[in-house]
This record gives sequence, structure tokens and C-alpha cells, in this order.
Amino acid sequence: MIQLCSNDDPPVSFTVPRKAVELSKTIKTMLEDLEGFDMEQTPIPLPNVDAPTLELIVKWVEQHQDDPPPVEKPRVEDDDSDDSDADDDQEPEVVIPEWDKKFLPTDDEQKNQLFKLLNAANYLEIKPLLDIGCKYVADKISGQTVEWVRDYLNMENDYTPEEEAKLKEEIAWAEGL
Amino acid sequence: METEVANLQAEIDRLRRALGDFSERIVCGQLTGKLPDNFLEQFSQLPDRPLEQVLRFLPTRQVPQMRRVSRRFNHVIRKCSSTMQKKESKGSVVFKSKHPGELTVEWIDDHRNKIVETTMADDEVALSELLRFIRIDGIMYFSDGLSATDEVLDQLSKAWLTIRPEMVIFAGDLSQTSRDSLRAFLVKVGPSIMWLHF
Repeated sequence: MIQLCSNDDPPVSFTVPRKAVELSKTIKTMLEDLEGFDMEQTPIPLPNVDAPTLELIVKWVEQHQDDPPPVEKPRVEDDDSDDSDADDDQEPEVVIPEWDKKFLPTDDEQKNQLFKLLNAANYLEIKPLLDIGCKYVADKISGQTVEWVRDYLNMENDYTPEEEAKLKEEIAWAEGL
Repeated sequence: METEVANLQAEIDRLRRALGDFSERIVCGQLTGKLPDNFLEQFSQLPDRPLEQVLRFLPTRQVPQMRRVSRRFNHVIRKCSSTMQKKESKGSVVFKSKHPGELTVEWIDDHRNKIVETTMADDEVALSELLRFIRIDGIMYFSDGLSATDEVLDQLSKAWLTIRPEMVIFAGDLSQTSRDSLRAFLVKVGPSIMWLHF
């Protein structure tokens, strides 16, 4: 068993089976690097994750610890050139499983919790959790207007009116897609 | 070998940073320094990767529109859109140039419905922007006027991996087109093309 500590003061610790915790690539790498130390006795502090978020993470990894490992696909880092291998651009379909649908904090007042969970999944490199969380957000904003998306994601419009008008013109062609 | 070394170096740096992160905050196992209450509670504070992932799950047609949300969105979309899923089409794309220095692009689907029409000024032939989101599999038709200029052909050559038309027709004025641009374009076209008309 491995102990994880939240960033709260005092920290809240959770005891998680090693197999479950290794769904986090970040922690898995760390445990491998610290091979030889008795990690059962050493709590791992997670400076980016608070207790409610860590509780969710622990719940999720325990539920999914027996899942078959996801197929690794090398990430194409884009350098903004058009001659990169953009041919293979099919994203694998992500379906949110029933259990996960109930698990995700999806009420509107839990929105911040959802974003914190995405951040933690990103930081801990739990790709399947990041995927379903992002898929949920994408489904939510799919088909909505720019204004609606800004409002939902608490994003501020930081364009000047002139810049926005120019950009609107630039992307007008896409309205027909 | 060199990439291996670079990878290892990056990994070491990453671990060193992570260790720094940890050791600064822990005194005898206790966290020091409290994070602000709303720390990372906002979507806008998330790193690029989750944002990019959300955008990848959106329908193609919505992605260009999302550039308007904020500068951050615009930046991420411009950075990663060429590897995003594209809208496929068996339709045709028609390039026209009714006035010198102006290019009109029409995209027509299988059922002859016009999907997109956009006019670009010569100084910023924003074709690559268009091709970031569309994959052309049908006919490319260079019609009226100087529609197949060097600038246009060069951009298409560059973006070729994402467009594989079955037929290319040159019906416009090629007198201003350099042989080099045309040759580069045709070399790129070669593998996918079934018909070529001048």
C-alpha cells in the first residue's frame, strides 16, 4: 500500500493499493526511480492536489485498477508547420463508462471541482481520467456559442473589440462547415 | 543516441524540479505555505494539455469559432489544429480569381451544395488556415483567372499531406505561374491523383 498526501494544512492522507496508484504515470515513474526505498512507509505529498480532489482520484484509480492498460500512441508535437504528419489525425473514440458518468462531478456548482480534477489528472498523468473529463467538458460545450462557452468556463474575453471583429471575419468561412 | 541522452536529461530535470517542488513545501512531513482558496479552480488556470484535449473532442466545425473565446484558446487552437481531426469531404474545391490579387475558394460537397465560400486577399493567402480543418478528397478545380498562382500552389504543396484529391483541373490562366511551383505541386499530387487536366 502507498500513502498519498493532499496539499492541505494539515495534509490529509489516503492509503491506496500500489497497483491502483500506478495508474498515475507520474507516481509510477517516481516509485520506479525510488526503487529500493521502503515506499510503504513514506507518504507521497502531492503539492497540486487538495483533499476533496485527491479523494476523487483515489476513488477513480481504485475502481479502475484492473482495467487493461491503454494503448500508447506517441504524441505528435506540433511545431505549427503544415508539413508534419497530419495524415493520421483520427482521434480514438472516447466513451465515458456508466460508472464514470456517475463519478464525475458534473453538477454546475461542482464545476470547479471538475476543473480541479482535470488539473490533477493532468499533473498525475492519468490519461484515461483526463480523457473522460475532457470529453465531458467537450460534450457540454459542443454546439454552444462563444459567449456561452466563455461563461461556462469562466473565461474572460481578453480581445479588444477591433481584434475580435477582425478574428470574426477571419473565421467566417467556418460557419458553413 | 543523442536523443536518448536528451530524453534522459529532460527526465532528470523534470525529477529535479519535482523534488524541488516537494522539498520546498515540506518541513518534517508538514506542508508549509497555504495555497490560495481558489487555486486552480478555474478552467482558465489549467495547463494547455487539458484544454487541447477538450478541443480535440469538439466537432470540427466548432473549433475555428472557439478561437474567439480568448487569446489563450486562439493560441492553443493555432498551435495544435493541424493535427486535429479534419472534416472529410469527397466534394470539390474550386479556386477562382476574378480580380488580380484576390482568391475565392469554394468548397462544394458531393451533392453539389456549396458549403464554404471565402475570399482571400493576396497579401495573406490564408489557405493553410482553411486546410487545417478540411480534408479534400474530391476534385480540385483551378478556374477563372490567375487562380493557380505560385503562392496558392506553394501553400497547397506544403499542406499536401492532408489533402488527397482524385482529380486536379487547371482551367485558369497559368501564364504567371512559375515552373518550379507547378512542378513542386505536381510532384506532391502524383501519388493520390487519378486524373489531371490542363
